Amino acid sequence: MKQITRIFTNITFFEIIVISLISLSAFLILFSAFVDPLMIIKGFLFTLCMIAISYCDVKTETIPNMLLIPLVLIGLIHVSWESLAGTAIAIPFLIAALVAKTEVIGGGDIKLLAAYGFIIGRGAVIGLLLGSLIFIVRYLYPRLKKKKVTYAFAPSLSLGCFFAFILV
Amino acid sequence: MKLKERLQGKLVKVRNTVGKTLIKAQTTLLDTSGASAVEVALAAVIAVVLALIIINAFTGIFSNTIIPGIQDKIKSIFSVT
Repeated sequence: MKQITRIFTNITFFEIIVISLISLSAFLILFSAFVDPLMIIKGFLFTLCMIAISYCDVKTETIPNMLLIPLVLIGLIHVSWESLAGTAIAIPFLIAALVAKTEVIGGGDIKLLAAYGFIIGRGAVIGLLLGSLIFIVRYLYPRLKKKKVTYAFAPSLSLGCFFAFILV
Repeated sequence: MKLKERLQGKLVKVRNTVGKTLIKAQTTLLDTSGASAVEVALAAVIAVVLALIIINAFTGIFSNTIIPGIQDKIKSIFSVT
């Protein structure tokens, strides 16, 4: 909890404006995409959590467990068996992390993927696809330049899952 | 006697491997790292696209070939002409 407080107290004025604009545009997109007010509220809370997680990941390359708990609570809105099936999307990544000798995917990303799967359901596959494509486009060039091996996955994944939430 | 010892040895090996895997899984799930390699995303894209193609192919085969074939067979069985 202290870690999260420390991250969010060091936020700059420019970052606040950018986050506000992203939240506003997300709310407008959700408002035009859904008719059910419960879905709009769910989508907006989901977006706020995604922004907080992405910010944390970009700043510290960690995803605190405290930020994943609200995601599970949001997933309880319109919960179904499909939500539970959606969490299975993280299993291949967990197996990959167990099999690989070096760190290929962070534990935080695996849990985040499971939480997104719980909220979106089967649409999380589309979210994963879109998020992975965004991640590849963003970081393939730096990776080829051998600047770093691992990068923050949460922002790309969040963007992909946001579109999947609207589309599916 | 030798077979029993060999089996016991293999059992211990399996038990050790399972134990190590469980410990690694626990460590991975307790980890809060949010950094991933680009190769994982690439593998995920390839896997999802392949899975979608295979599912689409199977759905096509089932809905266009297999199920109509079964329906025809059932109709021919029950036709009293």
